[in-house]
Parts: sequence; C-alpha cells; structure tokens
Amino acid sequence: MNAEIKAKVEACCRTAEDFTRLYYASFDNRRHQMGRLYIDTATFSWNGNGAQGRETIERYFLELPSSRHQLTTLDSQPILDPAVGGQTTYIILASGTVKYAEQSLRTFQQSFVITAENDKWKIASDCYRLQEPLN
Amino acid sequence: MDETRWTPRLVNCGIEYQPIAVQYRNARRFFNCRQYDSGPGLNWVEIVVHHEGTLNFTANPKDLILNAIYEAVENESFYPVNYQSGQVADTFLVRACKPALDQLFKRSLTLRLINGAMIPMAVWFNVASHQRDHISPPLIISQVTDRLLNRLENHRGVENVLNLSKFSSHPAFKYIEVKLKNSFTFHLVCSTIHNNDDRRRTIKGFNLSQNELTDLSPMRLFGDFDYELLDITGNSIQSSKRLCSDLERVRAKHLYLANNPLTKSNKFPDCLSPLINNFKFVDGVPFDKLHKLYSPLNYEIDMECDGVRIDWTNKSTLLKFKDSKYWHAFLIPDADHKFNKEDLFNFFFVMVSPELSEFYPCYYKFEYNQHRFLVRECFDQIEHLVNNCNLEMKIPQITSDEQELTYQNSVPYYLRMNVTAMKQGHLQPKKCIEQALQQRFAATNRVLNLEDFQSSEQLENVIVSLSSPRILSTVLRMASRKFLGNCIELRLGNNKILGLNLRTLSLLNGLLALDLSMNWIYDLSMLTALNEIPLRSLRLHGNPLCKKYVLPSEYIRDVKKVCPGLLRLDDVDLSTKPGLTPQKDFLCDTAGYELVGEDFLCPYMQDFELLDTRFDLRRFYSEESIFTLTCSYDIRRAHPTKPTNELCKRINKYNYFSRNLLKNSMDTCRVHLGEHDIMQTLMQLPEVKHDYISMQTDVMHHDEQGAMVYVTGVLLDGPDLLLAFSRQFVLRVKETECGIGGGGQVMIIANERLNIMNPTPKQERDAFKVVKPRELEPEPDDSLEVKEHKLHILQEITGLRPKWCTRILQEEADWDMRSALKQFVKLDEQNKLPDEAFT
Repeated sequence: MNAEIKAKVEACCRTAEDFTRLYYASFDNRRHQMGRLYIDTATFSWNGNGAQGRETIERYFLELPSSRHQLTTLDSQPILDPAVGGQTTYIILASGTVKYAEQSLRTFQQSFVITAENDKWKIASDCYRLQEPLN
Repeated sequence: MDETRWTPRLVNCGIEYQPIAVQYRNARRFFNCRQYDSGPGLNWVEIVVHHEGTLNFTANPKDLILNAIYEAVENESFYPVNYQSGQVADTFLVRACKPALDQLFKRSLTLRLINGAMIPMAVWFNVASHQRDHISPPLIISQVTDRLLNRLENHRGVENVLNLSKFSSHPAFKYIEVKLKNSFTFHLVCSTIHNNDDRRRTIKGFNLSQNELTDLSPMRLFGDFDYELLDITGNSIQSSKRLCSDLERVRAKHLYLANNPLTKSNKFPDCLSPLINNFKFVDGVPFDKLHKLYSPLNYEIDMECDGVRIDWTNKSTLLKFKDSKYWHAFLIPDADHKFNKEDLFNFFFVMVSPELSEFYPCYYKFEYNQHRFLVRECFDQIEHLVNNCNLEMKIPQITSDEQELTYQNSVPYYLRMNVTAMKQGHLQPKKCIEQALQQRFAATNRVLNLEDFQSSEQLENVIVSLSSPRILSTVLRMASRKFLGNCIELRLGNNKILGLNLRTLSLLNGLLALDLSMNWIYDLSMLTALNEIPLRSLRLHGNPLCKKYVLPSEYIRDVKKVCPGLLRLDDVDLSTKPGLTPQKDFLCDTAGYELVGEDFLCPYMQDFELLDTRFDLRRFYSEESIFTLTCSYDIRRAHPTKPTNELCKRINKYNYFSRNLLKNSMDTCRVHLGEHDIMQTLMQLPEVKHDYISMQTDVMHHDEQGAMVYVTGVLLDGPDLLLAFSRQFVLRVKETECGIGGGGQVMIIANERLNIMNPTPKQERDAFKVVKPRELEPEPDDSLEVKEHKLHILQEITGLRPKWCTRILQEEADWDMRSALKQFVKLDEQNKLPDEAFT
C-alpha cells in the first residue's frame, strides 16, 4: 500500500469514527434531525423496508420505537475505483447491539455510503438490518 | 341437310389418338324415353344436352350440367369425351358405360340441375365404332396417376405427399372430363395407386383438396397404415357419419378438413369423435382440443360476405338488429399487429359502458390484419359503441411528464351484424363462467380463488373483463349463489379490477379474507364499500393506490379507516408494529433483480464455498479493489462455561484478519488492496456452505455504472460450526454483455467487506431448513366450525345420514377425514351399513 492510499484509508477511519458518533447520537436522541444527515436523494432500507428521499427517511425514523445503540465493531473503506466514486466516497460498516423500547437486546448491523456535500459528510445510502426481528 | 348428316364428323382427341369419326348413318336416337331395345355395345355414344340457352348466364353451365350428370349416373363409370358447349346444346361422347346410361334412361333422359331446372338430353347410340387407337379415359387417368406418383411433393411441411388437388384440371385431361367426385373415377385412381407397389410405400400423405368430393370410400384402400397427412379441404363433404365410416381405418397425423359443409354444421366438431384415434391433429389443432378451440370464425363465417357491415357511413342501419339473437362481429384493423390480445381488450374496454349490458367478446382471433371477435345479446352496448364512441377505439398514452393519460390516437373499426346464428355447441359466456367458478372453489378450506380469472381454461374463448363493475358483480353473484355462505376467503388478485361496489359486496357477507392485490384500484375511495363486511384480512398490494403512500404507517392508517376491523393487511399482522416487520429482500429498483441472481451474487456466493472454485473469484477483483473482514464472534456467548480449544482455533482463522476501528482506530494493516492481496486473504479462510433460503439481500443502489449489494445470513464453517455473516459489495459494471438474453453484466468488485458474528438462537433453529409454503400445511383446527364442515363434506361424499356421519367421523376416526373415509369404505364392503343409514 503506497503512502497516498494509506493516507486515504486513515482519513476514512477518522471520518468513520466521527460520523458514527454523530449518527447514533442522533438516532437515539434527536430523531427529528436525522434528515440532515442524508442527501436529498438518499436511499434507506430498514430491515428490507425501503424509503427514498431525505424527508421520507426522517419520517420513517419518527415511526420507530425509541432506541439505544451500542457499537461493537466499526470498519470503513474508501472507494478507490474512479468509476464509482467520482468524488470522495466512503463506506462505513458498523455493528453492535440495540435496545428498542421495552424489547430485549438485539444485534444490528449497518452499512453507510457517505459522500461530501458542501464540506459536510452526508449519507447517500443506508442499510440497516437487525439480526432478529422486533416482536 | 341429309348430306351433312351422313358425312362423318371428325372428333379430335389430341395427337396421340386417332380422331373419332362421328356419323349418324347407323345411329339410333333416344329422347324422353326410359328404355332401349339393344345396347350400344362397345361403340361410341353421343349425348346432346338440350339446355336451349337457359344456362347462358349462369357462372359455369358446363359444371352445372356435368354435376347433374354425375349425380344421375350415381358413381357408375362415365367419362365424357370432347365436351363441346354450344348456344342451345352441349355435346360429348362416351362409351363402355352401360350402367351409367341405364341410370340416365331411368330418369327419362332428363337432367335435374342443382338450381332446379330440368334439361332434356338426346342420346345417340352407335355414332362411331370403337377402334383400338381411340382415346381411352381410364388409361389416361391411370397414366396421370402414375406420373403424379413419380412426382410426390412437399405439402404443409410433409415430404412425399401425393398431390391430387384439383385433379380434374390436369392438362392431360384436355379432351376428357374427369372428376374425383365420381367415386368410380376416384376408385380407379386409388386402385392405380394401390397397385403401384413401389411408389405406394413412399407416400406419406394425400392432398385431395378441391375436388368436390362427397364420398371418401375409395380411401379405404389405404387403411391400417400410419400416414402423415390427409388433406381434404375445400371439398363438398357433408355427412359426418359417412366421413367417419369411410375413414374408419385410415390413420394420419394431420387431417385437414376446413372449408367443407360439414365443418359448418351444428354438430361439428363433436361429430368427428369416432375418429379421435385416427388423427392427432385436425386443421392443426390437437384432436382433444378441437372442441375447446372450435370457433365459428374458423368454420362458419366468411367475413367478406356474411352479415351486414356497419361503419360510420351507415350507422342508422344498426337499429334493424335491435332484437337479433345472432352473433355480431367486431373487426378492428391493425396492419402492423401493434396490439396483442391483452392490450387490445384493455383499450377496448375503456369504451365499453359500465352502465349498459355485459359485454363478453367471444372467439377472439387475429387474422387478415384484423382483430376479430364475436358478441351476442348486447345491443345497447353496440349502440353505445357505434353512436357515442363513433366506432373508434381510443389508444391511451401517457403524457411526457408521466402524469396523465391522454387519448389522442384512435383506431376506427367496423362491425358485421348477424354474421351467423347462435347454434348448439357455440359458447355461452355465462356457462363458461359457471364452469370456471366451479373449478376455482376449494371446499376444503372454503377459498374461492379467482386470481387472474381470465386465465381459466374454461374462459379461453371468452373475455370476462372484471374491470367492468357489472361483469364483476355478475360473476360474484353467480359465485355467491353457488357457494352461498360457504366461502370465507375470496382471492381476486390480478384481475384489472378498478373498484368494488356495495351491491356486489353485500353478497359476500360471510367473507373474512379478501385479496385484491395486483389490480387497478387507484384510490381507497373505490373501496369504501368494504366497511360493510367484517373483513379480517385484506390484500391490496400492487394496486396504483399503494404508490400514494411512502410510509407503511400512513397506508395502514388509511386502509383501517375503510376497514376498521382489519387484523392483517398485505399479510402483515397489524398487531405488530406497522412498518417494522422485516422484509427478506429490498431492491431499490427491479432491475437490481438480476444482480442478486445470476449476474453477480449467486455465482459469487457459490464459488466462495469451496477453495477450488473460490480461486476463480479473482475475476471479480481489480488493482483498486479493497477487502476487509470483521469478526465479532464471541466465543463466550457460544460456550458460556468453557470455550473449547478447537472452537478458538476455528474462530481465530477469522480473527486473524479482523479489522475493528473501535479497537485499533488507525488500522491500515488489515486493509487488503488489489486482486493479489485479496485472493491471498480469501484463500486462507475456511471452506463454507451458505444457507441460500434464509439469506436476506438489499440492493441499495443500481444504475448503468455500478451497484451496491448487501447480503446477510448464516453459513456453515466445516460440517458443524454455524456462523452469522454479512457481506457488503460495491460493484462497478465492467462491460455489458449482449449475448443470449442480453443485459447481462460483468461486474468488478470495488469494495467488499465480510462480517462474521454469532448466530441468534432463532437463526440456529431455522438454518438450512426449507420453509414449506404456509398453505400446504394442514391446520390442526378443531373448532366447532371445522367439525361441522367436515361432517358436511363426509355427508356429501358418502350420502350417509348426519347421525351416521357423526358416528364414523367422531367415534371411529377422531375427526380425521382420511381415516373416516377409509372406515366408510370398510363398513360398506362388509355390508355393515344398513339402507336406512343413507339419505
């Protein structure tokens, strides 16, 4: 791995840590602000239920029971292939445990594609899967 | 006068034969008499047909006369030579035909033409003595037949067919009249063929079309042999009885029969049933389907001349047909065959009025660049289509902004009224519906499944458009009459239904579940009638109305306003959190489907399983590809007491590569870059087996350039270690294949990540199990209702009185239908059921 790529990977790591901290804090405590984290045309899938567009996604979050997330793993990769990431694009891969309202603890995993929009990192696509469905 | 009478007239019969010298010196004339003293022997006889010019304006006077003669001579040998048509009389010569002459004398030498005219004939015996080198019609016929035998042809795709079509017009018959209609002639031809042992065996079929045949008995010579083809189209075959007995032992793969009077009779095609084992196909239709595919359009109606044409020029004529019980034809031109059947009726029914009578197009067919179908007994609709819709079919188009439909283009069409009478054997839409309904009801679970009703076998020849509220009502009313309150679930999916009205639904008050999925319902307001029935389950998915909702909760809220008692909507249990029920697969657009199937995911996952094939995965990677692996498998969670050494070893194979920024925040060592590095890593991972059935996929992005595919599920590491996994792929399209099927894409993996976790208890339970479709499992339901239903069924099957049914079902079989039936058979066999046990 050459120095240039190494720098990219390291930058990606930093962004992943900062971004997920912000993201799960919003998810658990500030749902009404979730829309800000997405680009206008973002795609979202929550256990296979899709939502498209920033507003719809935010409304989807407001329907979910209250939550408390705890990360156990975090991984991230820059997309180097020029044909895919015209601009700087990262994928972030997180997993951990979550407690929805009164339900028991469950494992979840989530994959984001984030991209820089006006100097801010925004989600282009977001895929969330619980390992076991809610009751 | 006398001079000319005694001068011989030379009758020319072609250069091969000596002319016949006709003279009347020794001739005897017979006219209007029934007998003669001594016969003509072998000498020539002249026949003069004194039509006196009465036939001069008929289409073909010669044919009229000859047909009348063949009719009169009743299949005796008779070959007119040198037939000459004249202004007042036609003449010809014959010889060696005593039996035929006897028949003519029997009729007082008077011909009865098919048009009723009576024509006298004069017969001259001994007009010329016979000589050896005179023309001999039987010899010419045999020669022509032999010549045709040496020139077998390809006909309707079959090689080596003997072509006897239009036999009479063969050029060798210039001086003689030969018609296979005369069965003596036909018999002569057939025996000539039969005696030609060499050629006979090579014949694969007979083309006997257009010979005015009525009698096929000479074909009996060719019985008990399997031919490929028998073409008797365009003849005059009228009697099915005769046809069936003539062909009793004749066998061929294909029988072609069209354009015979027989095919226009009431009894067709049923009357052919004695021949079912002789022919596989009749006019290209499998014999057993003949009845089903029978259409008056094929056999009875000539669209050129039958019926009265109605188009924009003569709309007022329509009124004449107000009370007609006949079939009326719709003819919709479509030179380029732009519309298929389904499109056509989709468009056509836009014009059909929902208020007027039910409109059932029958016998649809596309031929001569026209869509054609027949209707009956819907005069008000026809009147509406003619006067209000101007005999035009409007073609809907979506405006460029995809917001609205416009009807700018239209196709003018025309009608032919009264094309044919309603006959026995013609289809009756209501009867077809009745039969289809019968097939669609399952008494055991009380489900009436009308999904894609049009596809019912019984509706093959009739369009039953449930998009028309009136027809839908009729069908449901018929169903409710048939199955009364017995039906608890009604499936109406895929029927182009636009809405339900109240009257229809009040018939279905016993209903608990209704499936309206994949229809054309564009707004919930079309379903307000639903609040009249206490539905528990409703399916609406796949209707345009669903597109109005982006969030499940809003959709559910609105449907519940219409249907307050609903427990399940689109198979989702509404007592659970709406919208939170997991869906197995998510596709951002349907084009992503190939991606998770054959284009990428399936081959990738399969090749990954074994090291041998895993090596081939290098085709998916480039120098820019990145791969990482995270393992969060917690050994203590799997074995809370004492983790085994072996398990640690196996998990460590993953842990060795595991990257987790929460533990090592700037980890760049475990980022694998480029094909070489990635393959090295992948080849060090254990062999696995994926559970494809429980796998969940999300296609988050998909366009011409690339795609994002995520998959989660379980895999078996080695024989026994079950692991939960997820994989994320960022894909780039390398090239699009235009090969078979087209649209196939070759993908390159830009980014990939594998995640290994502990399986949940549920995953462990369900892994690698095939989930049976829900409907197939018998429900162990012992409610009173079910028991009553079982009693009812047993009663229906056995005819036993209720008391006896209860005895068998409850006491002997413990409510198990199968053993109850066995028990019944046993008791019946042992004669243990007294007469009074039966109703």
